Amino acid sequence: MLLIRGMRLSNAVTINFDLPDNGLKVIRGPNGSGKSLFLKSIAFLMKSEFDQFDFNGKSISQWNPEVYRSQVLYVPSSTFNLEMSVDEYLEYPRKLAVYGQKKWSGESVGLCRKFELSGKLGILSMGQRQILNIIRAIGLDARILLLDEPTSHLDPDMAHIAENLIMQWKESTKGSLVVISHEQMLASRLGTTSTLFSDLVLSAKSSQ
Amino acid sequence: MQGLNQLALASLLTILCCLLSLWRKDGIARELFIATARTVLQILLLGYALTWIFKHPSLLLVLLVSTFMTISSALHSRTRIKTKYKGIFLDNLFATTLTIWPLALVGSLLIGTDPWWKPELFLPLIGMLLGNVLNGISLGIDQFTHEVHTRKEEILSMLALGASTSEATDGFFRRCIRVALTPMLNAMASMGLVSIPGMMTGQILGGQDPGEAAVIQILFMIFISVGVYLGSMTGIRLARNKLFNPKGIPCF
Repeated sequence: MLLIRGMRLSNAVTINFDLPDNGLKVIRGPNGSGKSLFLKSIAFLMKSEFDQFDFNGKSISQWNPEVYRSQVLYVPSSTFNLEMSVDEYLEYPRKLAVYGQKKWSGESVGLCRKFELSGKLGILSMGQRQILNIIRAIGLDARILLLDEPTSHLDPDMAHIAENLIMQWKESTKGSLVVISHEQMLASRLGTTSTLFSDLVLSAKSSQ
Repeated sequence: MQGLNQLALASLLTILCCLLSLWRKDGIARELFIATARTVLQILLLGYALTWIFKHPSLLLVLLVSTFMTISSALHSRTRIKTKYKGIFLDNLFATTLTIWPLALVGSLLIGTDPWWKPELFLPLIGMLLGNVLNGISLGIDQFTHEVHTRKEEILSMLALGASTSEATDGFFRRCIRVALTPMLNAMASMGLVSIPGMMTGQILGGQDPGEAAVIQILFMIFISVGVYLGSMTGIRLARNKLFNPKGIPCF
């Protein structure tokens, strides 16, 4: 599904990366190692150079960037549009041209009601905003979710709920996941093993 | 000579303000002094230059002076923008030229002077347009560059959903246009009720009929408002094209 060879990030780290259909990769690493940079580069949100960068067998240069990003969806660890209400936040993607005439299920709205997420984002806790981001992401059209520390602000119960939501999405859509986390046990709870970010790195500036 | 005496006396007021500022230690004395000195020097030079140009009118001279004023305006606008980017001067120059020159041409044709480039009308017209549009463009671009830098993660989160650059920055764009237009809108709202515009005042002091002066002032204000809107919109759009590459990836 995703094939990356010789991706040179802006912090001069070079990486190879593969993600199969319905795959799951959990990546761990210390702060500042470039994990988020890597995730944003996969999402085509940051400048990077590469030898090969294919999604669904097609080179990134052949993809319309908006369509690609809607398919390979980067999900940040928090929300930023704090003046928006929860409903406006859920509605926002519907206004984007890339989703065209897509029919939207009411699942995201239902989940927000279930978790009592309402009002302005500014009054929600960090954890509530984080679960809201996940709820919105799984209601979109993505084939790959790039989750940047998706449970870092959640208590153990909510983290468990979030993990279930993510895995249900993976099973129902046959989509793929890349998850960045500092938490050692997250990978085993998701039924896989984690990869150290340093193991993906082919070369770094300091070793060149 | 009498004029110079008046200037010297008026300058005493500025010096008093500078002394007050020094005493209060609010740090504005130096800037106020330099700004006043620059104004005196620039306006005196302008006065002498215009006197000479009006005595020797020529199309080439009017175009040369207008070009010089346009380039100066773009340079000034650039210095007022705190968060700079590569190509900012050319963007300012392009936005200013594209907006001001056609408006100045239309304005002079509409007022109907003969010839259309008559320096007594064309130079003040282009000068007033440049002064106001410079303000609008610099305010708009300054606000836009500041917002996209400080709210980069927010923009990234919208791009990540599949938003195009224009979809992700449209909210910022609208806010920045408003910021660019606010001083002019405020001035227009109070004009005639609270303030008598400078140009109209000058004409009345020069013996012109207030009714005729009002018509000319209204025409100028219409051109200025159109210029500020179009200029700031063009400037911000050009800035956006520089700050994001064609693939929508931020270049800052």
